[in-house]
Amino acid sequence: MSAVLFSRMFDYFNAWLIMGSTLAIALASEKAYLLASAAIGRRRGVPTPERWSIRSSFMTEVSLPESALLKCSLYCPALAFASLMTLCASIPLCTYIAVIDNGADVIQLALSMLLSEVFALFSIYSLRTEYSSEVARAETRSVIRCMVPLSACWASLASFLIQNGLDSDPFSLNSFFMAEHMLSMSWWGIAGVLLFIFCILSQIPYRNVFSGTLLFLCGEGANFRGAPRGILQIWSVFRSFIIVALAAYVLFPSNLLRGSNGILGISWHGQALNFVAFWLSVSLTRIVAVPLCRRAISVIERPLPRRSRGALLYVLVVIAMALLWYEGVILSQEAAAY
Amino acid sequence: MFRIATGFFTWDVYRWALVFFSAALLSWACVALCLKFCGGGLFPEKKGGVEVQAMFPAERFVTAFAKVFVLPWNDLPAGGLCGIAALFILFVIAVFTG
Repeated sequence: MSAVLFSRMFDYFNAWLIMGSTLAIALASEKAYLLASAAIGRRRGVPTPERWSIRSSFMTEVSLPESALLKCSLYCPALAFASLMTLCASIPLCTYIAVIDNGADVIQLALSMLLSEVFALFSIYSLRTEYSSEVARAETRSVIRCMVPLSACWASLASFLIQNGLDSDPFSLNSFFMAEHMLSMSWWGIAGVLLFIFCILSQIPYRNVFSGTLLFLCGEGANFRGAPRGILQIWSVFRSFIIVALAAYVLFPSNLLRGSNGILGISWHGQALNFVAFWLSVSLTRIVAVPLCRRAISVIERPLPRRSRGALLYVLVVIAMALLWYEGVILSQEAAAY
Repeated sequence: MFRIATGFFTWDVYRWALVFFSAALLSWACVALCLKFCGGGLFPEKKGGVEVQAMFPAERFVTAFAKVFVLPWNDLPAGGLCGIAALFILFVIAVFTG
């Protein structure tokens, strides 16, 4: 009995260790991005804001604006962060030891993401200043613009997989390894998947070039300081990193590393290699591909009139959905001819 | 263990709650320790601080909704418990009829 209990607790400890290291990778890659963008800005002579330091945000004394609701703005960031950890626990490749479920259902993922979003919005709105409501509006807008391509991507991949004759659950994230399917897909389908990934990566919630995915710009909103602000900043960085990971997961060629008999059949060094390769590619995507995609979509938007610039994303999403749908039509035609 | 299974997904409530509450406990402890050791100028909670102009339709809806349905409950003793019970009953109805 005690052996079972001990091994369970050890598994649980390992899972938390892996989740913690994922958080550390997220923070490190954000730091690397901020340092790189500050260095580039300094070389060009653009004034850069002060540096974001995690330690100092937790070491300074806590202060809230005068109008804030005390309990809500102190402790809602903690709840937002906690529901983000449940999201992290259900991503495959993050924890081989199943904390929740390794083949997470995408509906469950979307629900956890919305829950943490709601807690974070509670805590931002409860500051009740003009600056905080401005931040909350920007946050709402960017989350909607990010969630629309993400959920459209999941829905059309699931419908494509159903037409492809999938045995397992089409809404499980485990069946979204597109790298396997891409070998047998035509160029239409591959272009659709890549367009989806481009749309998602270009809409990762971003405040500006020098603040990256931080929620509050560095040096602004100075009357809100201390641990709650630090937790909200970390929450925002980690949330964006998880969205990048979900997008990268679709393209990651895990079948190169995975044996034919699923997750449980791999040796421990294979698992470790898989883990390192996946999170390294995610952090590279965060540092390099996300700014490039943002740049690309702003270049494409530039010739359009100012009022219709925002609609370009939705047009791209519809095009990508149509491409994947056409791929499904081709597949079912082939099946009928066969 | 306690699970909720609908046609779409299985929700392992026990494990979910374990992760959620342990992470919440950790970050709550972080905030509380920072409050204790670094201190801070926290202002007492005031009734009706600065009214922020509602701009989004969603914001206007939420403030109007709160004014009619939520804020009166705050004046009642144990109003929060009634609210939690009502939400729980709604949740149970939604899960077991859906």
